[in-house]
Amino acid sequence: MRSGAAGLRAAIIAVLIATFFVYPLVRLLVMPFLSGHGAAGDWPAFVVSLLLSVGTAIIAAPLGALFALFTTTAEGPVARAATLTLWGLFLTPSYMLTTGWMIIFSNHALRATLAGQAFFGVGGLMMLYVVKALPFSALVARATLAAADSAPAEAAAIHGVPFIPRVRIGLRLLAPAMAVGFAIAVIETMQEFGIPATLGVTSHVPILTYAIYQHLAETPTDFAGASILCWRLIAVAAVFGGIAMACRRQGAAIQNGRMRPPARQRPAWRRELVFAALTCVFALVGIVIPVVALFARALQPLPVPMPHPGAVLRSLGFGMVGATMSLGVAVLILRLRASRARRITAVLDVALVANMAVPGLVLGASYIVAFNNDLLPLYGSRLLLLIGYTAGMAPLALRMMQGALDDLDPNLVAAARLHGLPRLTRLVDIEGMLLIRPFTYAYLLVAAAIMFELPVSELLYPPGATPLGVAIVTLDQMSDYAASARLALFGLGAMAGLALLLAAGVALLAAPRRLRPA
Amino acid sequence: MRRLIAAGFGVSIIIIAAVLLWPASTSGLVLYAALDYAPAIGKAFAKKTGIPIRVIRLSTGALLARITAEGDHPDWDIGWFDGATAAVSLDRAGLLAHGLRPPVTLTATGRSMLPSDGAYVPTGFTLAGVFVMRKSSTLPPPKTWNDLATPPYRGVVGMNDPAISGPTYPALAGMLKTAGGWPQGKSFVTALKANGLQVFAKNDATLAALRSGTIKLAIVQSSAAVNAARNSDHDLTVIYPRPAYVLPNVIVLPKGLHGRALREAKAFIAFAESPAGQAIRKREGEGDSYYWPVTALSAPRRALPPLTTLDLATLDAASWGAREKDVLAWFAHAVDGAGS
Repeated sequence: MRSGAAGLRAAIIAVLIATFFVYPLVRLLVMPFLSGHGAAGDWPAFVVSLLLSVGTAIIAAPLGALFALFTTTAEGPVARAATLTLWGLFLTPSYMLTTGWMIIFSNHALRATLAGQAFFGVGGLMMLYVVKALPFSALVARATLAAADSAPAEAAAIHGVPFIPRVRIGLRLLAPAMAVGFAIAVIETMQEFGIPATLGVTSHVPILTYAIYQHLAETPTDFAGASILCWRLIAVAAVFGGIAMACRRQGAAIQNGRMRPPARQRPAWRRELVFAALTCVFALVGIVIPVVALFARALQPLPVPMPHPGAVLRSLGFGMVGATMSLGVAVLILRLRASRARRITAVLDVALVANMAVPGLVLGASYIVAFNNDLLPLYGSRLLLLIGYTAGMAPLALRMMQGALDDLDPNLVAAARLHGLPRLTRLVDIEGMLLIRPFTYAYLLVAAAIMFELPVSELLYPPGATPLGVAIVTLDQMSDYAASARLALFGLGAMAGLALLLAAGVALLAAPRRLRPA
Repeated sequence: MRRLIAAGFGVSIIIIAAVLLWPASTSGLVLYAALDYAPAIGKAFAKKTGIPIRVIRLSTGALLARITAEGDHPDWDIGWFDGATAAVSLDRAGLLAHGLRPPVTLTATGRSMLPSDGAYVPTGFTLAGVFVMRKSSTLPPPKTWNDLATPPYRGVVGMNDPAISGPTYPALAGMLKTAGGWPQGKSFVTALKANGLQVFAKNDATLAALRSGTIKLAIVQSSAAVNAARNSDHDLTVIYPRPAYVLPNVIVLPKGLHGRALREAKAFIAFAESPAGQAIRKREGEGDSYYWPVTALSAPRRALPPLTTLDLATLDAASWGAREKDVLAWFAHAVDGAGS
């Protein structure tokens, strides 16, 4: 019976992966071969993007590794502020960050300065790319460092190893984390779409992701040309993804035996001061200044009625429903993996790695090609947009739920079953209560990611149902910063409202029950 | 209590999903429109004829890309936008119905815009590119396109990006035609670039750059220019270049539209061209209401100069539409610095 249920789950997942991931991608990626489109255009966009990505990673990876080391080994207010800043930078939509800075430099006097000219060029792109790549580098480096052993550091302290050799040992231990951070920063910067769609358009720097978008969403459209560019984007992700995996293995080889994570301790004041300054710089550049600029511009009167008034609620709805679908798929996959069905687990692992290499822009492009026919005429519908969100966000949801589901002891459920508790009680009162906090956390993160999502939205939104990200970027392109700032802030407010509502719900749900005497 | 809250959450998600995914009414017409008076016209048309119509507002570029992406499975019944060249591009892709005839007698200018295969119907026109500058500016007002490549205009001229702004391609085509056609006209656009031409995304962005002082002269569509000068900033003045290229706003129908839908779509075209329809377009529209009608039954808004005072020129939509892809690719490379 149980194997039958697992088989059904495996079949559902296999059909979903085949229909909404493999089939569309194959349809898109074979286009150049079928159409005989051999023009290898847009090389400048590829080369510039790659150079910018590598340049960004060279800056972001060491900084990320240092932040990771600091936040995993230090305690105190600066470490907490640094962690909070990293998450803040990670969650801030890139186009919103860019909008804030573009508002500042839309002032003619500022634009005419050297800083203004640098901002509307490669300099501005690099600054914003570094700000967005830092949390990715730091968070993946943290994951690598979390598995590090404290023994080498302790041994060095006991034996009184001089400073230079100690730094050398430290760097050797830090190197794999830095390398993984570098590779991830290259991939993330290469796949970044929000910054090119706003600042890239204004500064006329050719960027690969925006070139793909232009092939698909501006006249004249060129699907085969877009497909060639998608190949290049995926190739870069594959190469640097391979490097990241190799570095992780190398990191694992350096660490040996039973690990004992380093104990957190209050760092020396000089070190704390340096990180306080660094945290301040990134918090100011990546969060405070853009948000203050958005607030200031949002307060200015609008000459016409607010454009796209329904975008905030619409995207909040998409976020809530999309997060539910993504978490549903994630839980289904995790349950399947727990059942230890080897073949499907292998397929799932390959699909998840492949999904990492395929950015939302490529997924959206593949959906246009695949779902605009008599068999599956879904293009232009809200359902396809939701499916696109789900396909893009399911891996994130899966990673966020994985730990919590792994920690769930199967014996607990078995014991409940043995005691004859009904299925609903097991689901709501036992499993539900144990998973409610990680579920809410994952739900909010995925809902926010969907609410402010840009590339899939740009390509798949149904006419007349403009999502929030598209509305903000469209207004940016028309230099209507007051309206775009208002929309951005309304969006943040709506998301905060949802977070408060869910937090209240969780507090009520997780409140201990008063036991009634038998 | 727990079950109640969990059930409440589940029901909320189902309700939100139902609202989001509820299918739109399939009866009546679907109008993709890039003109700001389209919703008012749709409402008046539905009221007059009883034919329901769903008006979906898109930018011209997004509208054209959407029609192309939908391909042989169109979700639209009528398309209404600026640019006969764009209509020709859609027609060359085999996406448009043929044989449309204007429901009213057109003026001579209107007749000059008619395609031989009836792939679109002109419903009025604006000018693809006019000059806007500050009245208080010390810059000498340019008269012709060639003036813009001279030293006084070095680094102070801005225009829209034709890849992003749908109506800008005809302006670019006009510049090229004035300078000798394609590819001879490239040298003029390259000279503009060498003289410091700046490119912004769309009309609003270019006008915002003018108002902020980033540029001193903007090349934008006449409707946006007149609207800005009349309603946003009275210090702005519009200069009509010699020649000024006509930019028709056109209605197209998808290939394969037939039966009742075709009849209703034709009824919509007749309404849009009727005096009542044109009165609504001029009254309810914002920038797009500043257009010149192509029928003698209606006069343009008073803010627009008489056609007799303008040096009008018409683009051959068929030939310029056919080379749009090449021209835009070249512009992206030579002027924008993007693409190959």
